[in-house]
Amino acid sequence: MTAAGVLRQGAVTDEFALIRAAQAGDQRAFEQLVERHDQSVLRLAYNLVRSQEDARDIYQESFLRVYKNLHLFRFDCSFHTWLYRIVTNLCLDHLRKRKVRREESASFETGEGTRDRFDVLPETGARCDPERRLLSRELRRRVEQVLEELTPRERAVFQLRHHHGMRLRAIGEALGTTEEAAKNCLFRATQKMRQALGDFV
Amino acid sequence: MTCETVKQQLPLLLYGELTFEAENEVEQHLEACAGCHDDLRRLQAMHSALDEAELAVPPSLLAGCRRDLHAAVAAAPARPAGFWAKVRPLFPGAGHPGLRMVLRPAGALALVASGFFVARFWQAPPASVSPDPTPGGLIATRVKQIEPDPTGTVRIVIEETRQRQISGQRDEQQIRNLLLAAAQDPLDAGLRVESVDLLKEECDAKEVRDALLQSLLSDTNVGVRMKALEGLKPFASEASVRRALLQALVRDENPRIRTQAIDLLVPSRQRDLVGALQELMLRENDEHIRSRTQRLLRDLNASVETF
Repeated sequence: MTAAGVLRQGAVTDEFALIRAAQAGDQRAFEQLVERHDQSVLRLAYNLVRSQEDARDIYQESFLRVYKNLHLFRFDCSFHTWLYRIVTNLCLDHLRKRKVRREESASFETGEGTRDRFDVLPETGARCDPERRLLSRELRRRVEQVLEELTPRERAVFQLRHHHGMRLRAIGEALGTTEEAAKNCLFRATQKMRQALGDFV
Repeated sequence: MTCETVKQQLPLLLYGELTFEAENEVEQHLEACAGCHDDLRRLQAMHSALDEAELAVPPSLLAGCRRDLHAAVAAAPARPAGFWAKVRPLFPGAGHPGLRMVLRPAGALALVASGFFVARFWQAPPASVSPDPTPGGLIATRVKQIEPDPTGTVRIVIEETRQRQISGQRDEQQIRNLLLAAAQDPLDAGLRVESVDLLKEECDAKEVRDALLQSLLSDTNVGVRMKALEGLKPFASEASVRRALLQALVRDENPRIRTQAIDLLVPSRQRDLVGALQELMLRENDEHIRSRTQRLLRDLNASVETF
């Protein structure tokens, strides 16, 4: 029986065992490890890069890196931290490249004429109440604008703290910096958002 | 605290990132200052608005990602196996699919090391050991020495490792001995974590407690030390465990371990705690632990400083 088979039987549920089985080449164990973490990885990537296509690329690249380098994981930090280090680095690279590449316009061409970029933003958690939808749409427009104004690091720290509930210390570890630097990033991001959204809330 | 300082602390207050003392001061200020209180309310409203603005991941996106990854992994070349990938064909018996890992140098070395420890603890083959699954049971080989001579002949010394499985209950002596050996494996932290995790349920036995004390005080991996600490919790009032906790409190580099050591040491309130806490105050960098230690020392009617 493979190590993953043992896991399915509930004999061993510890993530360490799963990692070790994956390190030993057990494909099913690797997939289980991915399934434990991939929803939050995708949520992070999607919310940082704000594009399904790019989030998909980052997801793929992140887990392929995990696959290729898992044998180097030495249990000296949590797997979550190790994984988030990979994902946030890829997201930051992506955001930095995008920042250089574009100051692209808020509208773009489609087969049916010019459309506002914010008209095609994906749905958020807002309910279907029309007034609320209008508010939600305006808010999203402003949030999208302010997120573009944040530096990639500010954006990553805000996302990890606000939506993923990670402690600043862990965010510092994931970004390869100190808790203090992460705290300063969060502070600057909050200031910029207050300026942009202040009259809205 | 001035309004300006409080306003700067508000985001950290909402994210629960202030120390106990700073939070206390900010809250006291907020009770007395309508302006800052209003600022907090606006910040809370912005937080709620930002919650709403989070993009929800469509299920189809997740499914697509998983599908793509599955295909990419299936197509990916096997992970780098280094030297042994080249040597493997020389040993036809070692091509068993379940044995890939141990052919990697680190794996092979770990096995050799495990064998060494097993040999120390395992004097005679016990009755419940299963026969070798394959004739010979050879699963890993390692070139130990290479001696070329001028005629073109090469003499190679090979170290061979055999593997067999044994199974039994955790409290059986033979299983326990192997777990105790694995808990000290010098090369594999993952193996140590798993072993200590199993052993911590067997702490009624003194030999297990001693092993966990050693892990707590000398293991380089924080995961192993945490597991050892968990196992020792019920024995915190025992003298040897208490001594180890006092040492961990002042020596361990990980704040989680130090915090837990405080939690376990405080209930008995023995006098030796004061000295350890005072020593801790001399070197502690973690603000939360510092403020907690200060409070404890005050509660114990002891000076916060050593003189």
